[in-house]
Amino acid sequence: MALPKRIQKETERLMAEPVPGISAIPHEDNLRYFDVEIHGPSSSPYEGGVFKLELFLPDDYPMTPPKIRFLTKIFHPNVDKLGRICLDVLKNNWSPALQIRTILLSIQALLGAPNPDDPLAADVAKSWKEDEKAAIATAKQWTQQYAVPK
Amino acid sequence: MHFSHSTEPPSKRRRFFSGAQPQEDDATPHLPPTAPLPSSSPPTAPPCANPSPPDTNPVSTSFDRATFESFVGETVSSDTISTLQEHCGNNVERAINLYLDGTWRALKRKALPAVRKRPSPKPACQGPATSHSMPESRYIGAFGAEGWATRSGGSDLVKHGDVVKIERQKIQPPKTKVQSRLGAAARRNDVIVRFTDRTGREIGRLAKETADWVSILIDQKICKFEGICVYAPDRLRTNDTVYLQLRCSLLRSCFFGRGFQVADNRDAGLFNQGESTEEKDLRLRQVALVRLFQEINLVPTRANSAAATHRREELLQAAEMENKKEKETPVAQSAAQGNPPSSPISDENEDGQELEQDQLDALYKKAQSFDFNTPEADPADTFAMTLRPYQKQSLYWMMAKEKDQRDKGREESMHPLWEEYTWPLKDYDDKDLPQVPNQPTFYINPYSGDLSLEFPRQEQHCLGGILADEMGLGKTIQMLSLIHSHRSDVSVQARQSTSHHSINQLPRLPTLNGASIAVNAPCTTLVVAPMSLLAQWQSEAEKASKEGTLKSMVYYGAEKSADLLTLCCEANAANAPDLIITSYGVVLSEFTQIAAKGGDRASNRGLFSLNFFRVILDEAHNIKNRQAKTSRACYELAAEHRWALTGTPIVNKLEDLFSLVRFLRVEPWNNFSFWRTFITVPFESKDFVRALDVVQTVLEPLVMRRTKDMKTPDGLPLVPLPPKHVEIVDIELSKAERDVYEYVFTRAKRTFNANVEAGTVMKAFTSIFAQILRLRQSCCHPLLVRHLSANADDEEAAAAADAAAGLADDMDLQSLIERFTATTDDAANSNAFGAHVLNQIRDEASNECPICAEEPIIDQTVTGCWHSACKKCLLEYIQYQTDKNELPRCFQCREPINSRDLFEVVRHDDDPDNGRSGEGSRITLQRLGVNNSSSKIVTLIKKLRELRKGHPAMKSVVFSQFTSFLSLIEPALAQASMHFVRLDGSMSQKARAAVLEEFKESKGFTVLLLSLKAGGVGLNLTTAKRVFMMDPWWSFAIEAQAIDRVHRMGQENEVKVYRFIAKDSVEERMLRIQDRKKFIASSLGMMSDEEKKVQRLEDIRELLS
Repeated sequence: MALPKRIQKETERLMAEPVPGISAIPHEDNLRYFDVEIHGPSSSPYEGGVFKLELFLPDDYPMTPPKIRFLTKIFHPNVDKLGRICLDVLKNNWSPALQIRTILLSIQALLGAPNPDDPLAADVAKSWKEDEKAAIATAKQWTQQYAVPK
Repeated sequence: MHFSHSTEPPSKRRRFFSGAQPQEDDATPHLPPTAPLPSSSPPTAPPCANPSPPDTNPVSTSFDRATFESFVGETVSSDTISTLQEHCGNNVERAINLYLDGTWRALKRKALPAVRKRPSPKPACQGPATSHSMPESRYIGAFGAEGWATRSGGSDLVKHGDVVKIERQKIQPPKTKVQSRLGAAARRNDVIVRFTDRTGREIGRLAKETADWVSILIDQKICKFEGICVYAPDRLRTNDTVYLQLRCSLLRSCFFGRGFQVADNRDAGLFNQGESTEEKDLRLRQVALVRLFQEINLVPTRANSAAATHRREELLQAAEMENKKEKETPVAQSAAQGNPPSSPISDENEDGQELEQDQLDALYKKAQSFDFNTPEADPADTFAMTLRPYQKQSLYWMMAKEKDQRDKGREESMHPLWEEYTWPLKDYDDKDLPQVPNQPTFYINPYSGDLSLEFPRQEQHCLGGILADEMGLGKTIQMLSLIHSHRSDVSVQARQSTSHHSINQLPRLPTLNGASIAVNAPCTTLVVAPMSLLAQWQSEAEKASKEGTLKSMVYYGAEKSADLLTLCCEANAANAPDLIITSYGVVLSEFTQIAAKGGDRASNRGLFSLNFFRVILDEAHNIKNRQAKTSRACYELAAEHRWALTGTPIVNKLEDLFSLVRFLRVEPWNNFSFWRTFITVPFESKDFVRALDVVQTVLEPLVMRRTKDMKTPDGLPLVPLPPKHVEIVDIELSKAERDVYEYVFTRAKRTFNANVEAGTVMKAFTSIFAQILRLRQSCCHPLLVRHLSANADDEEAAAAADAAAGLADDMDLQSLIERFTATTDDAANSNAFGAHVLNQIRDEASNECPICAEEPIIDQTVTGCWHSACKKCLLEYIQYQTDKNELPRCFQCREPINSRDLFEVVRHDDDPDNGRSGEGSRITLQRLGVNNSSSKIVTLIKKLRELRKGHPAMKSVVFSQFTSFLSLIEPALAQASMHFVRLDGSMSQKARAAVLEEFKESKGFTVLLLSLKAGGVGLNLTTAKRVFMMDPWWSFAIEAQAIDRVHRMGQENEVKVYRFIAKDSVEERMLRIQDRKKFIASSLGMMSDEEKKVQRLEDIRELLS
């Protein structure tokens, strides 16, 4: 199946005008599969970290949202152990007018503004709510441990 | 007017014999075949042993001044007498008419040109060559006739075997002028023929039926009759029937007695009565002769096909009809004849009824039987252009015509109007008749009643003709090639010796003492063309000639000061122009000047002072009215070769042709009375076949006509056509359409299967076919099948509901905005907002689609919340959400959206009227899915819009076999503000012509909606360059025929054809059937009706598979 024009265009644009702090590179053998790296936003617990994600565009994209997940371990109330992300635009609020770029920006924004009221990882959310400082420290530590390139 | 006189024998005798006077016959150099005898007669002919009374002798019939004066009742000057004599020959009767009605004065003034028309010196009187061998009379046959006794008596009076004399009753001529009018009719009715015994005692009279025509033959000195009594009662009583055998011999005199007043055109011009006395006698004679031949059962041994095609009876009928007509309206007739003929124009509308279109077609068809085996001629090497094969053929033909070469292959043919008869070998008693050596046959012209002993050769004296090719086949080029390829000897010599002057070349100015004779201009061709074409002629002439090989000049306006006489005369041959181009107006004005100077041709040293090598009338239908001054002026142009160019030799009357023939000086047809007698009269008496046949014989040797539709024997068009590109456009039916289609399809299939099971397919054939028709219609527009389909009703109801809810089908942006902002009272804001939205929507179109990333958006469609995307993407997204049982929401703002609340953006940038005004093109929003319920219409409009954008003046033709579909296309076109016209079978001929004219003349983007049935044949739509076939027909041949209305001769551009075929439907299957060409075979009539039905059933099975 030929790659839809939209995916081609999005890919080209991601390469040509990358968003600062975000990179997305398609696999050569599967152009619907992207290796994504997101830099942790400054003045957030994830600052300094580079988080790897995988992104897959399903067949009925853009009718359905892309499938995306963290590969790098991250301590975040909206990301579960498996790296799945809880984000409305990836679920009910998806619209075909959204793009890879906008989704990745949303994830970057999510790193800067964790939302423990709508958690995916219940334990992380709980610690975040109970002791935000400790949670942030853990997040920083995880970032140092898993996300900072050695 | 008829005049008779007591002291003279019946005047008509003289009328006939007077024509034989040599000066009449020799008036024209080319003798018509109808009067062939005198031309070949040696001067040594012995005096005629003519037994008739001296006054019938041609030579002795002189103009008797005394008789004339006694009639007019006053002495007349010799001047006048001689003028009259000149114009009437020796026909006293006519002279008297002329004198009494005053026409002679006009004649007198015109006497000079009349003389000028006959410039050739008259050879000495020559007697007929064959006369020495022709006895005074010769038996041709016998027939039975009835008579009735006028006296009583015994068997001594008359009995079986008695010879009786057949005599004419003496005519009692009326005495006075007034009576003579009535008398003319009365005398015609006098047909009494008596039979007498040896002593001259009258026994009885012939029955009227026989006497009717026998009397004419006797009166006109054609035959003599001898009677033998076959049966008479023993005791004869008055009124008893006597049976006679009449033996008929042709008189020698009938072969020589009569000559045509050949080409006496001036007569025709001056006397435009319905029918002259001459013509009437001629007609009577013709009828009588035909009757005679019928009675004695003599059939032609040779006759031309044209003549043979119509039976004698028809001939008789036509002539007798005229007779009857005349009798019925004697008053009108005599009134018409009594009219002073001084205003010939006034009766213009009297002659020549208009030809119906089909008659015109038939005539043209006959005239254009072009033989593709005609040899070709290559143009001279000074000609710079390349001729197409058919043009080379006409060049050959034209050169042959000018050089008077006969086709070698064609044997000398008999004049088409004549028939050949063999003299009988045995008489009525089966005894051998004395035969005349070398004279086994005689000839008769049943059209004119002329008789001849000589073979009437089909003469072709006109050294020119009519080139009547249809517009666009290059008449001008062909004539120019002729000008190059056939030059006069003088011209050729002059060219060869331009460097070294020969003695002949010494300039010798022509002497002008004989001012009435034009001076030869042997190098010059004169072209007379409408003023607007003068420049074109000159530039074409330049283009067609190698440099310096053709001198042309335009003789018009300021250039008219040139002294043509000196310039073109033979002495100046080396420097004379080869081509002079002038206008009809110039010809007329010079003609008028010369006429004012009493016909002195040389007076203004202009066009009429010269006898050109060749004259060409371009657009020669300009002289179709023979009475118009311009026509008359053109007739007088002197030239060796005469050509007429016209695409329409006959505009709407047969008389149109006469004028051309007259210009060409084709004998004898250029005589109007002749023309009238043989063409106009039969035509008006509804004998079209005969009239048109005669016209064909006139035209055949004279006209070269090719049409653009003609194909060479290889099937190639004369002029190759630009390419044609046919593309099948797949139409995806919308869901609503598909629903309707499936519904109809299921029904049709059910009906068919049920009938197959019940074995009643044949009976139900019509209803099955009707359902197939519905099915095909449903591919076009669901509304076409609405009364069958519940679904369509639903749809209609939905549309109605929408309308009731205030959702008009389409609205412009403003009204939408108003609706949107109805809740706010801020008018200014709403306006500003409206403008903003408008701009935004317009600008967004150039963005990419947010869903598929196409750039620009395809079929931009906006949601109720003003967000744009491709129509397809938007619909797909809504569908996707609906399928997931989600409420469709806007892809941008997540507002809930309604599929009824989608609007397609219609940009009017292709519309020349609305574009370019203000900052951008106007846009309107059109509600999706309601009005556009036909995918075909949507596609059509889309295609047309694209077309209009690229070609703002393109014309297209839209064909459909369903006129109701055309009616649905109309509003869509109107909405897109496309100019359209429509033609279908319900329109009158006149309305159709108006539509076609409008389409042809329209300058901008125009669409012609055409029903396949009404527009399949005949129409010429070459102004269009695109064809849309909205639905397929069973046979592609029919569609091809329709396409050929556009793609035919005259089409100068590539033609693109779009065939709209609904995908996955019966239409696609129809295409498959078309490919198998089954229906072509059936439509060619190669199958019986029953076979056709079986064939169609199989097709239906396939259609419903």
